Amino acid sequence: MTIFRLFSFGLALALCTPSGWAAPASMRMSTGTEISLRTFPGVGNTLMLGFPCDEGLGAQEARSSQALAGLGLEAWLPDMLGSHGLPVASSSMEQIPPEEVAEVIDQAVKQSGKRVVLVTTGRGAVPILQGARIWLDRASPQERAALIGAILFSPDLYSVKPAPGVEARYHKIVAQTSMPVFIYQGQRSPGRWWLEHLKVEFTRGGSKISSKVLPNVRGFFYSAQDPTDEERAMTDRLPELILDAIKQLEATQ
Amino acid sequence: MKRLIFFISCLFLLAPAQALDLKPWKGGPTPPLALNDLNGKPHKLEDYRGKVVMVQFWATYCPPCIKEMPSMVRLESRLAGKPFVILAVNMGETKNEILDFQKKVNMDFTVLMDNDGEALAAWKVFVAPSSFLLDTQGNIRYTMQGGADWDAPEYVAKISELMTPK
Repeated sequence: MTIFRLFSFGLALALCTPSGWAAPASMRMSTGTEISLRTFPGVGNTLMLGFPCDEGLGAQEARSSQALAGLGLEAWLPDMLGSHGLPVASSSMEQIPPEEVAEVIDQAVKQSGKRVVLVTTGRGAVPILQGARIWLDRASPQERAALIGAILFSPDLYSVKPAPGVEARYHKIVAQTSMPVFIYQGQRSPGRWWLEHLKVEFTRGGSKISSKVLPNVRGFFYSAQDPTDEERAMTDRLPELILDAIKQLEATQ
Repeated sequence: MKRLIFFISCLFLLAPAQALDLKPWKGGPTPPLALNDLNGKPHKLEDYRGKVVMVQFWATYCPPCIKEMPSMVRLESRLAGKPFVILAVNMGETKNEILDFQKKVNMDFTVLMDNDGEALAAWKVFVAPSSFLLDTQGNIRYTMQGGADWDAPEYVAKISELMTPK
């Protein structure tokens, strides 16, 4: 009887997990870097690659990923900063090798067999979009369909911090990005006023871009040390926001 | 001990460098500024010819803005009676948000409402706070990104210099 129960449990697990495979605990890069992963298996056909950011989704990363996995969206969180001994800071983002991001995307696509969506915040948008560009350039037309696009929370995509009174210059990756992109921007942030400007820059590269201003929250509402009630509520809605954005990205493909 | 000496030396080196955060303006003509204050009274930059004007873009959600507000109040009182005025342009928040903020932070200078971000776009402001110092002719002379202790002697000296037409 016990053996039968064990067999049934194993069979159920195998059926719930596509192809009966287990998510990896880490990824070995061609550079030799071992990138550790937090994984949250989901039964659906979509995998979220949640990348580190300069403000950090912190504890929210795991909580939101767990909630998303429960809704069927598998989530992998590669520790790109920790793997290089980099502190959680905006300046660290420039040191994440885009080549490794491209390899992470490649391994995620091949190992999971699922369609992949990239999620990042702040300055993390630069290396993630660069990595996606590299991957897309190498991928075959059939493989490219596996990348749904990117969801960016309050992206910082200036080439240098813009000085007052001087036209902002965007990082060249903005105009080089050609995949669908969805931007969430907090209403209570200066970036909200320049969102349309940024979207115009994205369209130069051929990106299909959509966005939503999140009412009554700051740019980094999910990692605020002093969150307001509205910011707490919006943070609780992160899984819903990500699922909504994925729908939008899929619709624009 | 060596570390302590190094740290103290750094503090001394950083202090006088503060006013260097003011960047001389190398851009074009001063953009227009015509906004209402919290009471709905219209203000135009032209109304302030003959005065040095600090145009500062700020928001209640911006920690450096909150931190520097008291020093701006002190600066204005330090320069009381002199041709100097602060125009604090709020970045698209509601009147209630600002009034709530004023209950917590003393700020008795003029607050202008940039409800639709038009001034922010014309002045090319990307971060809060962003400050512009204008001379008595209405020309931008310096800009600064980020907060400051505005009543520090270096800033007072720079602003006082602008009061004297060249």
